[in-house]
Amino acid sequence: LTEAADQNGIVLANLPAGPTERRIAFAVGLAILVIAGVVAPFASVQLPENAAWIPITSTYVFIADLVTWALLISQYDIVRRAALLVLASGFLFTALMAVPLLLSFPGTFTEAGLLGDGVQTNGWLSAFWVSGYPLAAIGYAVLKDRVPGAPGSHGPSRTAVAVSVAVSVVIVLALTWIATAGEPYLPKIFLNRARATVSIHYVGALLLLLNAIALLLLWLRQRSVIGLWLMVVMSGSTANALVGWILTPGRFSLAFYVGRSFLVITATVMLIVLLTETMTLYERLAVSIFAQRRERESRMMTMEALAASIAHELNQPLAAVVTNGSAALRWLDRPVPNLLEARASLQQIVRDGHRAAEVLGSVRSLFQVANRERSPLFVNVIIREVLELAGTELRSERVLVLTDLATDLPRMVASQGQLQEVILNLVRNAVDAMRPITDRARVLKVSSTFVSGQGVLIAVADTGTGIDPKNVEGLFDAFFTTKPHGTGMGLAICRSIVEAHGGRLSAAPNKPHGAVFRFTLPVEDESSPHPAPSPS
Amino acid sequence: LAKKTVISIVDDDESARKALANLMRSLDFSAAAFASGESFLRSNRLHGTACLIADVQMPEMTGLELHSRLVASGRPIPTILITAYHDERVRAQALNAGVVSYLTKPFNESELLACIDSALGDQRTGRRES
Repeated sequence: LTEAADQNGIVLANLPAGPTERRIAFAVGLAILVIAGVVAPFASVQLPENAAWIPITSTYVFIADLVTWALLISQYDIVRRAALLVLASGFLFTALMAVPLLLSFPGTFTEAGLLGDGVQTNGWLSAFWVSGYPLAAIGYAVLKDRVPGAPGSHGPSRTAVAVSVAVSVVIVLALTWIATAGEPYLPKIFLNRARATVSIHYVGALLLLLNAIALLLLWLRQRSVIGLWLMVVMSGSTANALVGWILTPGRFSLAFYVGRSFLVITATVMLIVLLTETMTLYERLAVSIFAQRRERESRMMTMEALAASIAHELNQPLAAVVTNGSAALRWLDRPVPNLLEARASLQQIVRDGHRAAEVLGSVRSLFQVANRERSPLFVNVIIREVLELAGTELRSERVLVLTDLATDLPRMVASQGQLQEVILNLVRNAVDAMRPITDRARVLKVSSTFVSGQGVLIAVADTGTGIDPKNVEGLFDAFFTTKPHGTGMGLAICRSIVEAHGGRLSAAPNKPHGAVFRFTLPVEDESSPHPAPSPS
Repeated sequence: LAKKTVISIVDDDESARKALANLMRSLDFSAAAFASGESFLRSNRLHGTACLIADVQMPEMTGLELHSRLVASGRPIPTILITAYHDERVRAQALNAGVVSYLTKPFNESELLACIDSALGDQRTGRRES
């Protein structure tokens, strides 16, 4: 479960199964077992021999298990978990086993099968084949908690996959050899092409045991999506062992057909689950990549907008300086120099120069919040100043302003300009948030209270559009903005200012509408737990 | 005494407006300064203006919109657009619309004079006659 968090839920082996998925898996598994139970009393009913049944199901399982193997290998490539490689190899094994199984089936190609085999060959190959599912699941469940290797290094992964493929092929070849060349030495499970012996039930019991162990281990150790659906596969495999081996009278009985159907169903289930889960993950990745790209682009745009507005603010006074300079020269260059006009031009240049310096100063204050002069001050005074400063805007937007300012607040040590900037920013944000509101009152409420142990709490509440829950996280990040022309600097600056003063800035929904921004600032004498009376 | 050529200046930025008017007066033009396109359109200097210098970015009516209004009214005035924020797209748009020139602040006096000269074109230039 902790690993699931590490991989951000993008790897199937780590993805925890959701409640809905658990319910569906449980329903499918139960349905399989119920079908097995219903079929059981009629297991010995002989049915007509269908020549296409074996080739079709074998080919189907071959392809389905091969694709499952490929999907599992791609998962292994990401997380390098030995458990996944073992499970994948299991599916490769069952896929490959379908080949000799088909070739050796009596009657499909020749009367005795293509491999020059005896009566027992196909039966044993079939037993080896179906044991592949529980063995792979056991391997997966046992190895599940093994620490994965470092992802990203492709060399070892390729080698491991190549080795696993080689091992699977060798095992399939070896088992095929045992079942053909060693056929005379194998226990007799078939009397003839159709009838099974009593021994087949012992093989079935063994298979049932293997499946039971696999199911138990998965139940105990597995909580991931793959583990969950593997349990469904195991229930199909269990049903196959029960119906197709323990209850079967031989080939072409109801048990024979149904037993194999269980394997077809489970192969399909595993394939569909892997495909849909992979597609879902792919979709999720694509969405998050697009979101990231959009975010990056919008940040670049706001940076550009910020640079443009700074350039604009600086170019205005600079242009005036240049123009006034030209004018001053012209006034002096006249046949009769006009000293009065030249003097006025130079005075204007001095003024514009100061203005340019002010622009730069305010840009600096945007980015440099730590070292500004601080002095003892009363926050209520600043709040009133800000409301006066924003008065025109508040009136033109028809915002009703309410204040609830505590009268006996202690003084606090803060930078007056910065504190003003914070409150003004919050007020302007509130106005922006209320601009689209037409069906209810636009109310701005600014309050100040003393909170013992924290200092002075200032709250700016509005009845605007509120904060989208999905934006809460990035709200205070630099260059984060939801406004069409915002720079995204406002709240980021506010927060750095408040934090530089030892306070905290937070946002919350306002009731019933809008948002409320609160920040605390420590008071001058932090040791005093009670508000000091206002000094004169 | 010949009547001086009237140059009208429309800029919402006060110091920029004042500086341009100052320069125009030092060049012996008659300068008329306005804080917005509307106030210029309403003024009695509209008809006497030989050349208009207008800022591009203004809150109510942009310099380009002002120029279009003049063209639409059938009394186009040779217009020089000035801006503190250069934008190639706006520049192309402005020149397409028949603006004499598009200058980025801060600009040289000589640049501006060249533009005024070409704006006044064959009109008599008060500056040279006085």
